[in-house]
Amino acid sequence: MDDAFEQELERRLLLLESPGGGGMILPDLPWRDVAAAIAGIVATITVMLWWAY
Amino acid sequence: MLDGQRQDRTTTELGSAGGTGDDGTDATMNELPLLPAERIWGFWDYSAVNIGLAVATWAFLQGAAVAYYVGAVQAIASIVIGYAISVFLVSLAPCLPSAKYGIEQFVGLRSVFGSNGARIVMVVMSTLFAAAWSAVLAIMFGHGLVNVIDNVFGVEISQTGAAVSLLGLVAVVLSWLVLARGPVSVESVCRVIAPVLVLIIVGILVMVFTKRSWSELASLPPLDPESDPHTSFMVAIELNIAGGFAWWPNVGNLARLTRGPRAAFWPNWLGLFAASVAAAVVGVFAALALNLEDPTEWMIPLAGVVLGVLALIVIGFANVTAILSQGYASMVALKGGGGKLLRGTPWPVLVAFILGPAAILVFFPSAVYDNYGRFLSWGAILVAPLCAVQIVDFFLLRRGVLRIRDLYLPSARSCYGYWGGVNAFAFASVAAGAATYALLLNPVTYIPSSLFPYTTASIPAFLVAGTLHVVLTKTFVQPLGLGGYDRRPRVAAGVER
Repeated sequence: MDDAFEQELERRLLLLESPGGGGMILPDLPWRDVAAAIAGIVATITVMLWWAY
Repeated sequence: MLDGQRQDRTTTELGSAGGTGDDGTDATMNELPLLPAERIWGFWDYSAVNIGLAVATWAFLQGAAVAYYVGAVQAIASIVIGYAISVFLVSLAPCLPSAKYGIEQFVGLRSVFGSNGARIVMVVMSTLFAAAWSAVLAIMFGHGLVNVIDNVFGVEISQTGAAVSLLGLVAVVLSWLVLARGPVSVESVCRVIAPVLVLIIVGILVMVFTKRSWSELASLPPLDPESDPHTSFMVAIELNIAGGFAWWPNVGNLARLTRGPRAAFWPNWLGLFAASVAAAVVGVFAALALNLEDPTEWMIPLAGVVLGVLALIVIGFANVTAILSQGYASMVALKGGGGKLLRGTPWPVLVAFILGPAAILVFFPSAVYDNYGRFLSWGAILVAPLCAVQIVDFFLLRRGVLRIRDLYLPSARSCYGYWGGVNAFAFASVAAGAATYALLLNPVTYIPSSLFPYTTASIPAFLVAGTLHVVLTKTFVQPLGLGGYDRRPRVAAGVER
């Protein structure tokens, strides 16, 4: 089992290290998505505090 | 925390992606980085899993815990605020690093804690969380069935006595029997429960509003608040931050299966956030309307004896499926990130390892079940700093880049080798965060400090751990050339384990 695992791991690592990463690496989440999430959280917290407190 | 719906999806999809998981080469069940074809979830697939995750019996416990401290309006606000903060943080890490490289989440943590250090984190988090959650749910199973027996046979059995413990043990043994047969049996058991539980939650909401108007509900006092209303509100927020953080041990391995960064990030907002908030709010309403903190005592007053008993039976089995999900997720983590030893351990033995502690804890039903808030606190005291250290390490110190080969190399040859495979400075940062938490909110007595009403406990713990990790890494680790922070490309080396 372990030999099969090692061989498969090596195969995948070589693929990952090939140009383009063999499609195994996703692009980063765009920063505007993170900014939108933060803005949404701040707005939500503000509304909730205004309503409930 | 996981539930039947998630289990249903993962086991079905994982099976189609590559084998049963015991052959050592099914990447979704071990620590191999995933191939594109093994990423099986798009946005809506992961959203469905996520929503199923949130709608489980622990949502009732969460709602009841919040109802202790605040009324309906502040409960809604505190749940929304608390979950928004912690779900955002766990969506950043472990979700995004695991999704980006398709790596098992505790393998990813080797970059932060070293290969041996990450194993320590994995075993502690996987086993402790599984044991604690399984015990809580098993005792809830016992409470529910004792209520059924009381109502059907007209007796009055103690909710803190041997009957609850023995029934809790039955739940643990049932879970072991199902889990020991492997993922397929988990799937078939869980497939039925999740939709029925959604119906019960909707039913509870309808029943509550047939008995109370919104204005009546909003005017009901909390069950057992702090003397200062502001402190009560902040404790409620803290409980919900902790509730969101409780997803940390499992959610990275789900995001790992997604096909894009947005599919790894945004579905958490539909499931871990929106569905958790909805289910917990229903729990708050029921607890306040009935002035009862134990969810298993809500059903008969709300729905009558016949429907109430049926609902309790379903909830009893829903507790078992939740134990299955939690146990299964922990086993996948242990098998995936545990190296040769755990990868070769037979599935039933691993199940016994996971559920054994729960089988002991069920014999202390009051200590476990009546201290849900403290239990959440014990999770958050570790997870808030862990999450912080991982976020600053991955996004700030490494600019979102990991050397994947080094994650799998032996410590002596890996840039993530640190000192004997352990990054003591990362652990020191986590310890400092945990100490900060304990100083602000005593995890044993649950008595807040004088600063707590202005800070909560999880947020300062997060900030202290994250800041300290950056300072210690830049001061000690980077100058020594350890940890692979220099971002220079390394020559590919052979993989040796």
